[in-house]
Amino acid sequence: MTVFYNGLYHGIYTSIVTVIEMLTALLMVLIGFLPAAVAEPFSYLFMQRALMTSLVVGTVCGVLSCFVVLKRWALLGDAISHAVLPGVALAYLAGIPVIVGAFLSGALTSLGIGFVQRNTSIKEDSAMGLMFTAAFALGVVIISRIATSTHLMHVLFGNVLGVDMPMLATTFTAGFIALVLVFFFYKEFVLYAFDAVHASAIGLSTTAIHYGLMLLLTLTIVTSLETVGVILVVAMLIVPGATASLLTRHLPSMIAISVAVGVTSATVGLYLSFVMNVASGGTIVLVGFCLFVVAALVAPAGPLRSWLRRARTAPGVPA
Amino acid sequence: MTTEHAPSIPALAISDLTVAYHETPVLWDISLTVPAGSITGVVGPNGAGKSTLIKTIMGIVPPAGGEIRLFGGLSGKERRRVGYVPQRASVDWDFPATVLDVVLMGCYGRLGWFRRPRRGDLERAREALETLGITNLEHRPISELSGGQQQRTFLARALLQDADLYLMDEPFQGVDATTERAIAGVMRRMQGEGKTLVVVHHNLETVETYFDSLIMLNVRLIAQGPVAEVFTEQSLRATYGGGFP
Ligand SMILES: Nc1ncnc2c1ncn2[C@@H]1O[C@H](COP(=O)(O)OP(=O)(O)OP(=O)(O)O)[C@@H](O)[C@H]1O
Ligand SMILES: [Mg+2]
Repeated sequence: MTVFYNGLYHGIYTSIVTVIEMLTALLMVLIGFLPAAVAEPFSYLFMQRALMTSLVVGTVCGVLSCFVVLKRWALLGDAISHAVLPGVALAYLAGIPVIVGAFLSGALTSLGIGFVQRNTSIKEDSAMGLMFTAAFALGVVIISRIATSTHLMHVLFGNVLGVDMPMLATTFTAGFIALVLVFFFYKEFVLYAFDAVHASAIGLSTTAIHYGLMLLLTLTIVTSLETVGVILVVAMLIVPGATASLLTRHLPSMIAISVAVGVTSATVGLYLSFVMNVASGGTIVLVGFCLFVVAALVAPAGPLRSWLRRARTAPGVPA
Repeated sequence: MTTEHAPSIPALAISDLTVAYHETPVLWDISLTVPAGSITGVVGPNGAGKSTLIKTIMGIVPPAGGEIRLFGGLSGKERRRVGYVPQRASVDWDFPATVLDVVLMGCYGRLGWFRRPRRGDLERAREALETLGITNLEHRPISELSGGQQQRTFLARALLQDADLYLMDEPFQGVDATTERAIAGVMRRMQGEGKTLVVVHHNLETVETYFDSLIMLNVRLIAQGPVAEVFTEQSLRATYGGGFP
């Protein structure tokens, strides 16, 4: 039986790796068109893996980010991202994939937040603060018992340059699952984000949608762990959606812009961190923030447009 | 499936309903019936529990006690035949959606999980927009609507829901005379199609024009029945207290 599962696992893993390698080859053809100076770093295998990871993370975070921003779940995103830490530490100790431990502890904490909220008089924001700091503290305590903490530093702050093929395969699979789920439940998620009361009035289970969306958020956070780390992942869940919401009032365009912002910050951040030899996670988030600032300036309601409008309608020079 | 009912079965029958958010009940021992095919008004001062009553019927707020029968049934199954038009302020109008997107949400309940609106749904949505006189707003982002246009959008969504009983929370709130006439016209039209409407209302001057039947509420039920019988100075004073002239 074990042999069968090992064989099955191996088969699946090999096919995922094949898909990734094909996509990477395709990507390299495209990169071949870029100026040599820009394309050069991507001749390294680790940079190719890092680029693939950034693309996946940028896309998935871009999509989920819209729901986080619209549902005002920024704090929840922060909560879950901190809550994955004990799972990461325990998985590291037990020698199981970090991503599995992270998902389990993130999911448990989101359920815990819901439980505290429903069964005590404590309000949502306090319930979140309570549960995620407790989980994070547990993570810190467990980590302090582990001697070599460099790996865990990477979990905290991300190290996309160190992603190996098994990690990339896991990120790729988790990201793919997240996107498929959004595709199938798009209608329900949008309705829930806009008017949860109407959703329950027409007989959809809002509890199911709520926890489904929370688990999806956890999955996305886990996907991004290797790239930007626990502390900074919430930026990837807020910045793309917030930037897109400044520029459009149309949800499909908002998701498209958000994905573009996510992918741009992840890839440009990766490139800059390589050539300047600085931390990748921080660089990615900073690029995203710069995009946000630019969008805020040029947005329809932004200062640049209103300045232009004022200049145009200002009393003209007398003829 | 048929929407016809023996006239003896009321669309809504509530007995001994009590609702409390915390310790003090906001609705106390309410028993009432809404005849099928009627337009029934719900009046009472701010905080009387009108919205709470509607939310309890919709299953959004759990009751502390009592019984709610929809079309004679007790299960949640009948709730599918109930449409809910919430108070306008209950959603975020900055949400990136167009008027058509919101109206189409009316058919999501019928569609169920996974399925997307199809051509037929789109046609019905356009009909609903036309009925409410907002065809020209189809592709307008909802963040750019006036209060009256928002209300018409909500009503168009309700039309698409194809319910038999509609619960409307202050559909006339903050709309101008034209929109008020348009909404009242749509209500009458819905009644003509055999629908039952329960409408929370504030303007006492128009009660007699719009409603056949009335529920007067102030935590407890003050009076209910045909407007001509219950809309009296005595019951108004009992509902609105000493503040009523
Ligand atoms: N979510 C809630 N939690 C706690 N108390 C609430 C909640 N919603 C309403 N209440 C209280 O219940 C009472 C009834 O409120 P409700 O909204 O049903 O009144 P209403 O008749 O609709 O008033 P209005 O005319 O102002 O809309 C009020 O005292 C209100 O403070
Ligand atoms: Mg109300």
